[in-house]
Amino acid sequence: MLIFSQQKRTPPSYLQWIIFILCCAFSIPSLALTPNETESWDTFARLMEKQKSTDHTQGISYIISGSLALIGGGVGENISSDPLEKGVYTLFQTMGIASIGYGAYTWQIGNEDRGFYEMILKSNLAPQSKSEILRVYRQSTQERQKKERFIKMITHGLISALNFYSASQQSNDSIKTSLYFIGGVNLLACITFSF
Amino acid sequence: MWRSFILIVLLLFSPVLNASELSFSQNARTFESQTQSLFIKGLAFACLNSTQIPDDLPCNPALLTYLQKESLSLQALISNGSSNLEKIKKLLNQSSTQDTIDALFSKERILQIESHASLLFRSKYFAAQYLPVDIKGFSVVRNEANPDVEFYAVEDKGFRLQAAYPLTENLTIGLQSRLTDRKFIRQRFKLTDLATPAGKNLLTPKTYNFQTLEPSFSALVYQPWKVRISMMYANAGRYSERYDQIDPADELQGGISITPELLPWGELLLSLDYKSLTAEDSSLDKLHYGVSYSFGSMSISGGIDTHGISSGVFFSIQSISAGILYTTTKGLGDDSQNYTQTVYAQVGWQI
Repeated sequence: MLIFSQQKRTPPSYLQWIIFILCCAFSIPSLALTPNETESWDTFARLMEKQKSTDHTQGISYIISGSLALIGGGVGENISSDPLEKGVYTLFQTMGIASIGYGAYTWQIGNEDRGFYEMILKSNLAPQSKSEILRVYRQSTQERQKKERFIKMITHGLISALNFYSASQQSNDSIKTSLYFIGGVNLLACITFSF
Repeated sequence: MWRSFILIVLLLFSPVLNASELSFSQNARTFESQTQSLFIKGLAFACLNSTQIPDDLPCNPALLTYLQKESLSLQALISNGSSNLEKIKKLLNQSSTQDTIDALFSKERILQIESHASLLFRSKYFAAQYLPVDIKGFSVVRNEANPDVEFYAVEDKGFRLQAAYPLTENLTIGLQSRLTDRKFIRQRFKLTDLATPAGKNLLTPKTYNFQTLEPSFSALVYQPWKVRISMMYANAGRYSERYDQIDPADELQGGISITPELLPWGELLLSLDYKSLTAEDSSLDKLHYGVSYSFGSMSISGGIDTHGISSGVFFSIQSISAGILYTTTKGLGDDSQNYTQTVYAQVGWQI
């Protein structure tokens, strides 16, 4: 079986098969989690308390591991004489700081649901009102997620088309195949977001 | 059960202490027919049961179903000895000069390099890897009076595809296919042979391609401590040419792992695999023991086998990742002066 096609302007035949298999494998509709519109405030509160605990653990993990990266990277950079190693240790330090920041964010702030929960918790609303606001919030979130999926579908579709076109114009085999690969993966993402 | 596992590991260590002398002419974690990421090298390739590999496709395709989110990323790995990369490439492209030959075999006693870049796409049921460049080279020159050279250089390009399906909550099956073009030189010769007419062909590369189909499964057999068993039938497929000195034979590979709940945070994995990494591996060489600990953005891996010892750290945050790995062919308690040390560095970017 020829691995690389002899023709310069058409994708290699094995690549067409790969893209075909990708599309078939992902023709199964994605099981996107949709919020339950009839979810009560009490259920939501229990979930959010659990989420806060998870965020706390995860946030501290990232802070500690980030600190280790920062300190270890600093020590390694001073000890090492190889420029490649020094470069990697500098990258460790940068990632260490990013990890500490991400950990602090996860621990103290969390995601949108958690922000909404903390806001409602501080209010003096009756439980029934809280459940009603929660229902409206979920509806609004669902609509935003639909719009987000549509925009992502268009974006990935355009990226896929651009990469396929660029690949067809490319003369270097390795770059051509890389562009077809990126195009194929973005086509797959486009199909996934269309469900 | 924990004590039994430690006893088995200690029994395995004693052959490793004696095997380091045999591994002098090899790098501890670079092999002709293996292309794996930094984290997997750190595990001594004991990865058949690793569900969370941060920088590569799972070694066992059946474990794809444990991936938590889709990603498209670019990874690039290089080892020390990167100054030899161009020389190895020239040799493989048959554009080398006498200066290249002198630089490769006369100036340095041990020469090594591994460098590869790959595009990875991973999702819950399907994964693909494109390898546009993968170059490995190793050379050792002995006996100054009449130098003996042991040398290999390999260039691979190709794809790796994986698919997985969960049969039950604790049993998954998978399939992997590798589509590879390979160019290689693998020779043992006297340095003086290169000056003879017959010796000029010693460094002519051979090319061939192969397509493999490798089924696998993974089963969680005991929930406390997540005892997992995996098996994979590897290297089976179609080869345009079969070179027994470089391609390991078709074989059934197996592994067992546990995730003991010893530490309050993070995840510790202990794994033992039985698999060939080269065509010349004996039964003892096929045993690989790996340890990994994942905590926050950090993953630490360590591994030991008859080829050597490895230890590394890998960090991944948002779209950037980086790692460094140290390996040596010197065994524990070994006082020999003949050993190879290699440092690998890897960076990655999630697109």
